[in-house]
Amino acid sequence: MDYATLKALKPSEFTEAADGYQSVSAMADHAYGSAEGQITARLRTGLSGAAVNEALVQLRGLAQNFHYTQVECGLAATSLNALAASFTEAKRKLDAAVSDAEAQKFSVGADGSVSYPPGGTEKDGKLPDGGTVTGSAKGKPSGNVIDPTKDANDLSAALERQAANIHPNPNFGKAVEIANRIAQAVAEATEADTQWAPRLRKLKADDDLTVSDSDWADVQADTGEVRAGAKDYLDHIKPPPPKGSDPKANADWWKGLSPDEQSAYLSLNGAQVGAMDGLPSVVRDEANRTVLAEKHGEFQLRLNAIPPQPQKYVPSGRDYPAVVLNPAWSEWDKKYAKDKEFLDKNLKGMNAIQDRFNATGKEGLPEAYLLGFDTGGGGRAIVANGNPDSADHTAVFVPGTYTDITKSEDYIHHMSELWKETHAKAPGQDVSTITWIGYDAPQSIVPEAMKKHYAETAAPDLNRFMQGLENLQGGDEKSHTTIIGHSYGSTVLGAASNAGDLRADDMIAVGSPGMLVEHAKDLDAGEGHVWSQAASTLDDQVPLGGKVAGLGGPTDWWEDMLPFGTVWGSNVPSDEAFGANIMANDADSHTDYWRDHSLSIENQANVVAGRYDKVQRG
Amino acid sequence: MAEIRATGRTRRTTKTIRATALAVALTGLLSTLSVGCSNVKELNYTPARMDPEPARTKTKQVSSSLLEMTGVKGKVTEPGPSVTRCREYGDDLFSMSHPWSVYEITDEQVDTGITNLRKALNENGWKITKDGKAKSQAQDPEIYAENDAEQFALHVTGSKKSATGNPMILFKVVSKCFKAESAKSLDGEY
Repeated sequence: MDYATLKALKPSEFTEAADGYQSVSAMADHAYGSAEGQITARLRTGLSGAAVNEALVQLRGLAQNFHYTQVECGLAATSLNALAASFTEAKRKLDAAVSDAEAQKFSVGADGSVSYPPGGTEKDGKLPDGGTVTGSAKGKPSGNVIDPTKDANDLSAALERQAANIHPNPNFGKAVEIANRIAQAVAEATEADTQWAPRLRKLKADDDLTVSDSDWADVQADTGEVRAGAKDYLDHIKPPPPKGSDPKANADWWKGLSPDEQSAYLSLNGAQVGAMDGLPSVVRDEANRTVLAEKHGEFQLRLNAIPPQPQKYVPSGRDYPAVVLNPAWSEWDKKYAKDKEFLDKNLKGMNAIQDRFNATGKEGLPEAYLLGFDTGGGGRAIVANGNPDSADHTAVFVPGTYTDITKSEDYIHHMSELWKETHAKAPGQDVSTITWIGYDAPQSIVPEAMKKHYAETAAPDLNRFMQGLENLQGGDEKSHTTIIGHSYGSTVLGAASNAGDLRADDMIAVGSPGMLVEHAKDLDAGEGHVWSQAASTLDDQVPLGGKVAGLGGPTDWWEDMLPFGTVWGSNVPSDEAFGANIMANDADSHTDYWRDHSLSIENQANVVAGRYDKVQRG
Repeated sequence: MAEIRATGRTRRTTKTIRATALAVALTGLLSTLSVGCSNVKELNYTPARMDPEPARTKTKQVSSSLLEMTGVKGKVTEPGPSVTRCREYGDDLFSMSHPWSVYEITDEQVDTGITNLRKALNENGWKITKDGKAKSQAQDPEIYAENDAEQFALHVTGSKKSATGNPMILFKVVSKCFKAESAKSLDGEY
């Protein structure tokens, strides 16, 4: 990059190119949605067999390509915007320097040198001669205590001042100053150019048609590089409210960004955007899907890199003992076992989420939205069936003890079934059912589920999620919202009610060990809108266990016993004195075909659809 | 002073009794749980070998024949059946579940539909296991029935007009547990 190039450069050409990439990204996003949902749905209608199944596999591959295109073009657009922003800044400095030169009647040469006319006090009947100077850019100071570049800059500035002071022509000093500014602008543009050129080249994809795990792992690396390069650009964008902020503040922040700024945040800080309560569900979904694809790529590659587990026991070569522990196995176990378990666990959860995406359109299953995804802690997965932002009826399911990301399949499945049940009871109305694996749940019944701190830690997160949904829907009256807590999940609902304002019209406690309140009226849904389902079989033990652990209400001596002590008198939702509406359970169904959850899910759907008078009572 | 000590002793005694009771209760709880975890529940029938796709087709046929039996013409909700693992009985087992409804009909059509169905079920290999009023505030007519030859069961509710919604006939069709090719073949089924 030289003076002439920068002078002729139009940063708008780069923003136009960015717009181009942005529209390709948007088109790819649209095509991704069609390939995943609409086209497959139509294909499945009335057709079946091997050919259709193969076509569906190909379509899924195509959907992956569109997703990859969407993400990479989004990165390219943001890179070009960041590059254009650097160029614009350099160009602005250059233009200011050139116009100052013109005002002084100096001329700027094609090489960026500045020529100044004769001037000053006449000496021997002659004005001091004019001349030409070439500027130099300053080095970038490191900002350290010992900063040789800053010292050199200071020194050269001082020398220039001295030279200007003793120069007979006062134009000399001004010309040097302008020439330096020109050189500085050119240097900044050159730096941006050399910094971005290789990054943009790296965004070029390989030319095969399969989007592999390593392709997604590359995307993650690309994003990191672009993010580092675009730091200055991002710093100019208004920063988001801190983590855990009011969903309304998040929503306002998002609405206040320009479309380019929103795209930049989406492509560079997907995990952050995806986790922000209050942002539109389509935005969170787009962000989290990219995080999911990248994490899947990364984790699969890490898993592939783990060598196969050696045989645990090997022959000893003696009669007794005939086998001994294989030292190679012990070494493998020490080095890889923990990592492998972690990766297997998370990949299982991620595959279950991807399976749900793939099932969109199958037998009328609505589109899915990934409203939260994280591999930290026990893992997070918040998956909606149907768009909650526009739903007439919304259900949020908070699972209980043992919940972690590996249970995604069962819980997402449960909410998919509930969607169909509710749809059958409320035809013509929009329904959204959400699985909220959004907290670290106890991983044992005794002693972990006897502690309430899991629930109290989860409560503010749940409250923010529900508040964010309500804001998006347009207020309390816009959607009828039911929140379902299973086993320890119902304790979380109680804690959320205690912690603030749990935005729900109805609450269903399934197999609840206690809700940390004494009476249904103490919950935010209010008396008459708290429903209790005692689950069957194994879960039947939970209400009793909850009483034993004292999750049912306050007591003054629980510290003396287990974490909460025994409170024989405290209420759990299946007690009549608790004041919840008790629902019928499956034992009333008079048939062996009936699975444990059949009637309970019908009843849950009655509540979710607001058909209270149709709920079967216990 | 003496009084305080006495109170303290009483509290301790209560604690001891409660602690003992707690220990007993917990032991019971733990033993039930460990039994529950180690043993898969047993079905009282041998599940038939069937893959999810034919099971879907079968479920839709059963639902269609039930609609025909009602003789009611109305709108029908579109979503098809779901595959659910019968996890509590075995990893490679699954059952079908299909909730759907006929709507944009009148209360009279609801009654006619239920009456027709009651008659037709018996004639079509279904055994009615319960016939009466639902235990809900609305007390709508409901029928439970099962069809051993087809291995399906049914819960149908004649949902009359009320403050919460318009008339509809609500069906819940479920199958017995079937045995799939493998547990893995059920991955990704919805």
